[in-house]
Amino acid sequence: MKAEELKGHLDGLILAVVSREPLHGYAVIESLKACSGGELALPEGTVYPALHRLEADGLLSSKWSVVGGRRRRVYSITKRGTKELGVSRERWRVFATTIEAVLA
Amino acid sequence: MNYVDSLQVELAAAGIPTRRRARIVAEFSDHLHENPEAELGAPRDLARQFADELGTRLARGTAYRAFAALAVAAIVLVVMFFNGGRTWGGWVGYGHYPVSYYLHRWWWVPMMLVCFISAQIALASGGLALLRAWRLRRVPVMTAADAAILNRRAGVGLVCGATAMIALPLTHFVVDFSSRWNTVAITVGPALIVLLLAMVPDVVRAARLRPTREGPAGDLTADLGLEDPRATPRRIAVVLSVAIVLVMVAVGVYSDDLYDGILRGLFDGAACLVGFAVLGQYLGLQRSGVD
Repeated sequence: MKAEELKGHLDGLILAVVSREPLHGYAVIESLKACSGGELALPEGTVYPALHRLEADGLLSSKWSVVGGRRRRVYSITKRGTKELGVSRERWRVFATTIEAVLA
Repeated sequence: MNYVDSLQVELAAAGIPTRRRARIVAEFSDHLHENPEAELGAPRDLARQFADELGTRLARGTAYRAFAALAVAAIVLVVMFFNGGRTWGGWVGYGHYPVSYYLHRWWWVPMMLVCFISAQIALASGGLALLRAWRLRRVPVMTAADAAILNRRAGVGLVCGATAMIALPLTHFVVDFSSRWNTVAITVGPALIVLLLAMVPDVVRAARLRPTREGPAGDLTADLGLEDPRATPRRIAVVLSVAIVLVMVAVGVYSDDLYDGILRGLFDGAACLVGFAVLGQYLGLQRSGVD
C-alpha cells in the first residue's frame, strides 16, 4: 500500500497499535507492518513527526527508557487518544461500508 | 557526515528547538541501531515535516495562551477602573476623569495616550490572534504566512498589553487617592506586566519554528468568514470606527457628558483607522497591495 493511500489514516493506525501496548518508534513501524501482513510499508521516517504531533495533541504520552545503554522514547495512548481511536474506528467503519456498498 | 548528523543540521536549520532536536536525534539513532538499513527519508524533508507540524501547533497554542493572558489583564483593568471609578464617585468609561482632566497636566497626555493606544492595540491584536487560531484550529499544517501573522498578532498583543498595564499603577500614583485600590493597582499592574512579558519568549520560539508550507495568508475578511466581495478589510475598519464613535457618544450621553463622549469617540474612532493603516499589513488585516 502506498504512503499516499494512507493519508488521513496514519494517526488512527498509530493510535491502534500503541493502544495494545506502549511502543517506541521503531516498534510502532514494525507493529504496523506485522498487523498488515507487510502491506503497510510506509516511509519509516514519517512516523516520527506523526508521533510527535499526536503527543502535542494530547493523544499520546511518552517517556524515556534505557535499553542496552541507549535512550529510547516509549509512547503510550492517553484517555483522549483512546477516545479519538474510537472516533477513527467509527469513521472508518462508515467510510468502508459506504465504499463497499458502491463498489460491490 | 552520517545520516544522524545531517538530520541534526537540517533540524537546526528548520528552527526545531534544542531539546526537541536532541530527542528526535535520539529516536532516529535508536531506530538506526535497530535497523541500520532503514530508509528513513531525506533529512531535509523530515526536518520540514517536523517544522510544519510542530510549528503549526506552537503558533496556534501561543496565540491561545497570549489571548488568555490578555483576557486576564483586560478583566483586571476593567475591574480596577470600574471599582476605582466607583470608589471615587466616577463611572466606568475610562475611569473617573473626563478627558479634559488629563489635559491639565501636559505629561499626563503622552503617558495616557501611550497606555490607551497600547490597550486598544493589545485588545485588537490578541482578539485577532484568537480569531485566526480558531479559524485554523483543524488545519494540520498552516502556511508559513499564516503562522507568521499569528505570531505577530500574539507578540504585538503581549507587548502592547504589558505597556498598557503601566497605566494601572501610574494612574493611581499620580492621582494619589488614598484608597485600597491604590495598593491593589500598584501590585497588580507590575504582576500583569510580568505575566504578559513572560509569554514573549514563547512567541519568539514559535516564530523560529515556522512551518515551511507556502501559500497566502488570509486577511480580515477570511478571519471573520465574510465571503461578500463588498466586505473589504478597509470597509470593515471604517464601519468599526463609526461604531466606536457612536458607542462612545452613547456612553457620554449616559454619563451626562456629551462633550466628553464625542471627544473620546472621535479619538478612539481615529485611533482605530490609524491603527488599521499602520498595522494592517503587518498584522495580516489586509494583504499587501490589496484594498
